[in-house]
Amino acid sequence: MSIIEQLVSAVGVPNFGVLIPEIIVLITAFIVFFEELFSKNRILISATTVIGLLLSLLSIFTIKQGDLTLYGLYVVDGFSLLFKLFLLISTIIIVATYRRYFESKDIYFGEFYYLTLFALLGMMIMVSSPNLFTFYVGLELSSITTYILVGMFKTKNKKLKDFDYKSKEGAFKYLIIGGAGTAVISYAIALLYGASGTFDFMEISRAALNDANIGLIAGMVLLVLGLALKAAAVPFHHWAPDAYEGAPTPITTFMAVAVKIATFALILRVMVEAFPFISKDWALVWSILAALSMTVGNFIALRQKSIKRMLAYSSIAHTGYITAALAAPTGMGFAAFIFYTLVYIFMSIGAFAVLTFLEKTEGWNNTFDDFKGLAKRSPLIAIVMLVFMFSLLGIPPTVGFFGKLGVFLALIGSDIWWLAVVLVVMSIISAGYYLRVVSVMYMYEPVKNISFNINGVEKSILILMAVIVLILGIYPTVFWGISTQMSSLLIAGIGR
Amino acid sequence: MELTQIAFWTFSTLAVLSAIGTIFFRNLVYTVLSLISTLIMVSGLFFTMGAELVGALQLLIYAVAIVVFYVLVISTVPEFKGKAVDPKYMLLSIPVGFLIFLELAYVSIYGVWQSNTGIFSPEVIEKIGNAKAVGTMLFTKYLFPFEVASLILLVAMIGAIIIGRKEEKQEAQG
Amino acid sequence: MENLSYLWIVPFAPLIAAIITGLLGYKLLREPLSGIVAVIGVAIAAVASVSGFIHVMQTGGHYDLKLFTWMPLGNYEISVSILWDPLSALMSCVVTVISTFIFIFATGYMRGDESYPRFFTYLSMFVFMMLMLTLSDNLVQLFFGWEGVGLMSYLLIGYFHFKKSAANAAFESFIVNRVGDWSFLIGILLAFVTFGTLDYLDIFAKIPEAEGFVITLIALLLFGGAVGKSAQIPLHIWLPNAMEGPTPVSALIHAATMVAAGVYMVARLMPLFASSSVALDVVLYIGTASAFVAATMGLVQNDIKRIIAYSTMSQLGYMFAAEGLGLFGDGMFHLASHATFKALLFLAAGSVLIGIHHILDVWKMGQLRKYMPITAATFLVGALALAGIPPFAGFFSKDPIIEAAFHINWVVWALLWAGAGLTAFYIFRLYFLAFENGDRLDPHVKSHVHESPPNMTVPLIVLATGAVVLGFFREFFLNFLRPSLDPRVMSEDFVPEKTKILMEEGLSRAHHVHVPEDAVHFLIESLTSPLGILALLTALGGIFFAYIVYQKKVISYEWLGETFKPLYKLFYNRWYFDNIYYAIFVYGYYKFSVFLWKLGDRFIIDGIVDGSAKVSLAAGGALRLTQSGRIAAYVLQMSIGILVFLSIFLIVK
Repeated sequence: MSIIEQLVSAVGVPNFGVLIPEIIVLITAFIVFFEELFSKNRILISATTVIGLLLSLLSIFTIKQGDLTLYGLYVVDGFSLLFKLFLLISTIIIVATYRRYFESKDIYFGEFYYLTLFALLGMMIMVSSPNLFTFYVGLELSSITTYILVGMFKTKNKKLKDFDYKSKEGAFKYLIIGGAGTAVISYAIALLYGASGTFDFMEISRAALNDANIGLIAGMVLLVLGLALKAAAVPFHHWAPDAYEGAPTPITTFMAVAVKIATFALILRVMVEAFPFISKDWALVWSILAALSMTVGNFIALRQKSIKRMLAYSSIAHTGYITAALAAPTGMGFAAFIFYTLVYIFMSIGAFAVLTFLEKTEGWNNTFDDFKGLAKRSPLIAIVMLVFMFSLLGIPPTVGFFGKLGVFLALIGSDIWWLAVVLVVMSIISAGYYLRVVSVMYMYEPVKNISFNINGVEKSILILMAVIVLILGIYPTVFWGISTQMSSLLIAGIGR
Repeated sequence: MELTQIAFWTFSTLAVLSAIGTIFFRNLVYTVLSLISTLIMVSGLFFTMGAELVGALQLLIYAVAIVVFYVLVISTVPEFKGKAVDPKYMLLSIPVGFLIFLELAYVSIYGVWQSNTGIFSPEVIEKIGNAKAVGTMLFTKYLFPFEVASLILLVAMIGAIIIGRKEEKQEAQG
Repeated sequence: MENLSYLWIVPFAPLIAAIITGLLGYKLLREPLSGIVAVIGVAIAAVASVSGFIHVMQTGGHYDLKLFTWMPLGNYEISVSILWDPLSALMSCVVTVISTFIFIFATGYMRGDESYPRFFTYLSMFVFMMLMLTLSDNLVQLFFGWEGVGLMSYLLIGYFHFKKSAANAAFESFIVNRVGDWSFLIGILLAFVTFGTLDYLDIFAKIPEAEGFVITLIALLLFGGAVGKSAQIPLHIWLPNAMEGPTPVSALIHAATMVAAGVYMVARLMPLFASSSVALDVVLYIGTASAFVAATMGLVQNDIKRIIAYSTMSQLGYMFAAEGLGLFGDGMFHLASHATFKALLFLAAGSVLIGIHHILDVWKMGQLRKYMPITAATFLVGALALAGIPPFAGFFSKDPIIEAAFHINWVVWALLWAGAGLTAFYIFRLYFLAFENGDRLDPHVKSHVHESPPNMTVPLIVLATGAVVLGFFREFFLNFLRPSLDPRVMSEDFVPEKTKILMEEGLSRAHHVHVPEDAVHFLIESLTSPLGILALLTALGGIFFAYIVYQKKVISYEWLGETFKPLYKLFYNRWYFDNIYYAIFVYGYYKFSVFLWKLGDRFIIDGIVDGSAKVSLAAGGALRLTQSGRIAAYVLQMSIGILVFLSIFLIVK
């Protein structure tokens, strides 16, 4: 009996002070849940969501001191706070685009709001997990919620029947393949637990230092592959195009931005904290995955007719660019990884938000034909889209250039020439489809004469994103400084 | 000792066989039944290893609650016939699966595995019992993941309802 | 050093003006005020530059001011900084002083335009970017400015974005410049990999450590960027079309400053280029070819601004040729004098356009001298300067290049000499057609033609004065630039001894050339030596020929066109560059993509990689989802992936 008494008496009250952002998100989710049940006021629901998110955002700044709490299963440090901050910012922006889009498509459900909040909570857990256990539940919470969100294009409008169908197909593929990914991760966790006797990242790293046997290595490889699946790296990317295309566009944005950066944060933390001593091994796996993702993603994107699907493949290619930084397991590589992840938020939100806003127009399908002559019909949208395309392509003075430059320099710094060359060549190839969007917008006469229904909030979101992309493209120092600092903190955390 | 050995081999063989059945049966009811069989055999494995509580939970939750639910769903959907796996893919998928199996078997055999390192040594377990040990861990150290898991179930339930819900108007229009 | 820290104001005054006009332009300042704010911003920069110029003239040293760190890259920190030496001082004076006059002119030219504040925001922003480029002490800031001026140029060309041709021209300029910029960027990366730094001074110091062919490669890649920016063959096609922008923009960006950035960059990195004679040769031949080809294209154009645009391209070719000959000082001096008289020509053309309501075709003008005497007189001064008639600036800056070429490489000399004759011809063709000659003006327009207001004519007069007197300062400028461009005078901490030895080798090609530096001596020599008289007679011959064809009409131009039909067609179609590019890039790309499409569709993409929904959709029925073979294929590919990755570790280990 004494053992249990010892254990229980050693258990203190968790430090809830550092959990405030998560708690606020959870409470907001339940408030929205009940609001949805009892009141159908749409403005109220979206306002509650946004206010809750804003409060959570503010509460991040009240946390002065990080902590390892909940019995060593939850870590609040600079890295996790940074990513929570950006997750919250991007979610706020995306949620702000929800209502008018869903109403235009006749698919308004209050469920969208609280499911988004649940998914966000899962991601916040993901980025602050120091332990395979926490990481697993966080990942599952966000993944399962996202499967549902993808499949929610349930419209009564007969004209949109195809969308309904595609949404279900995307959700189904995502569910099956995501489930397979979860299975791979489970197997990896089992192997790692068997080989090291622990779930904790730090203790795994110690076990790997003492004896990196085949069980541990195999567990690591499977874990990398499972995470690669969640990040949509080739050859585990098959769910992404269908899910991205099928999902309602704001949800696509959410997947391409929030889910993706949370996954990247998780990947970085697991790799750096749990396997610092076998970094050569995982760097090899990531470099192959990155090269494949860049190549396949870009080549297939070249021949898409739908811009939404093209952006899905571009997102796969970006997984390649970002994870390429992991091929150079150095402080520079991690800094480049964090930097690219953070700046990817803005260009990606921007590009998908353009699609979201345009799609509200009757008969708009996001094909290249639809974009013809956009510059004549809406110069503002055309110019911001141009900024986002250039940034995704990596042309200065947009920030995408520095993202790629950082990765490139990190690779060169570690003498991984072949991957650096692949990166450059693939960036040039990607010009084929990004510039095609631009040329379609600027070089053609409009086919149809449609007026767009875009209000002030939506315009300001677009302008804000474009301005951020440009400002960061001119003065990336602050972000670069943060990324460098985070990467050194993460490396120093090896001996936490 | 001998008895545990025999029990282990019996349960594991049957678990593998039922799993194969789950994949290859065409009739959905058979599939579900072999799934139950697999789960029961796995819970048997837990029993042979002295983890009575986990074994019992496995039996209760999976074999009874979830699979019964599956059967219920299948029986309410009329004429739902499964289709055999596309033979085109079998040519590749069987060897690939087999090779992965070989590799994982190699890992299992040649990997160095840790024994129990926590405070719950077999003696302690014997003293306080399985249920208490699991409960203590679940409600102290692993309380947080446990709570999050409940959230996952909630979300999954909501999702099932949303996706499964029929749109009235759509029905009316035919 | 300490008393030069005020120089930060040079780039940032236009930036502040741009921010003010950008934020408050539409709401508060509106029409005259935002123009005035912009003029004040650039005038402050001009005053500061001139005072810095005087300072460096007295000391001849160089000053490296680090303003702030921009981005740390491992051990190397990229900073925003100002390298103030004679070269950058001269360039920044050229940029700011000429900008000031162009800005003043633009307050008149853009009158009544509805996006007046936007125009000045762009223009101020452009000057800021140009100064960042000029004053940089490292390649990254240079590249930043390089891209920045490109972006602003793009925005300003497309300023009349409601015109389709303007939007297309902007797009074309953007695409063509990207080609050059890729080359430039790769050059920078290669320099970083080779030298481990991007600061000019550190690069200069490390040149002897690097392999010769790497230096050549870096220089050529960087020059690739210059070819794009300065519209040299083969990336020249964007410049004439860029004339769609407002005329002050053409004057500022596409004549005086941005297009000269390539010339400046080569001079700035002179130790790098001079260390590789291959690089110098490439610069020489590209410059010479552009100088000649552009002059021939200019002969047959009918659009007033395009004629001047081709002349810009041709003059930039002369500057590159000078640099390729090893005469960096002459190249930079020609840049300064060209900036003056070319800005003058463009602004005079702008004044004409305002007078006759934007008719661009020279065949629809005539006798404008009667209505616009000041414009006509100043245009004539600019034309004489361009043609290289003494005592105008062009004579003192262009003729020494041609003369020196004779002593170094006679092919180059022949082309440059022929180009000079053609230049004199086409610019006077323009002059006679527009300002003299018969009466072809639309009577309706004629009744409205009048001289432009003082805020447009005063800049013209000032620039015309500059075009007259600048040439006499030739010796002063050459001596002034020496600490930056002559290895014998350069200080040890600017370029170390070892690098100087390498540079001397490259520059030795020009050592036996002795062109008098003093303007008066040069004038006397030109009038006495056969070479000088030949050059002068060529220019006068060009003018005379233009006079008899277009003014006196002794020889009819129709007859000329018929007689030299093949040549005429070649020139008129711009040597078929556009057609060739179209064939290769547009049509070739189309063919190639069709090929890829077929290949991809049939064999790879549809079935396995990209299972788009349409097939299963056609099959119909939501239940089919569960039976779709695609998912099996996907999971199979995933399994193969897992197998391969596991095998890598199990078999290798």
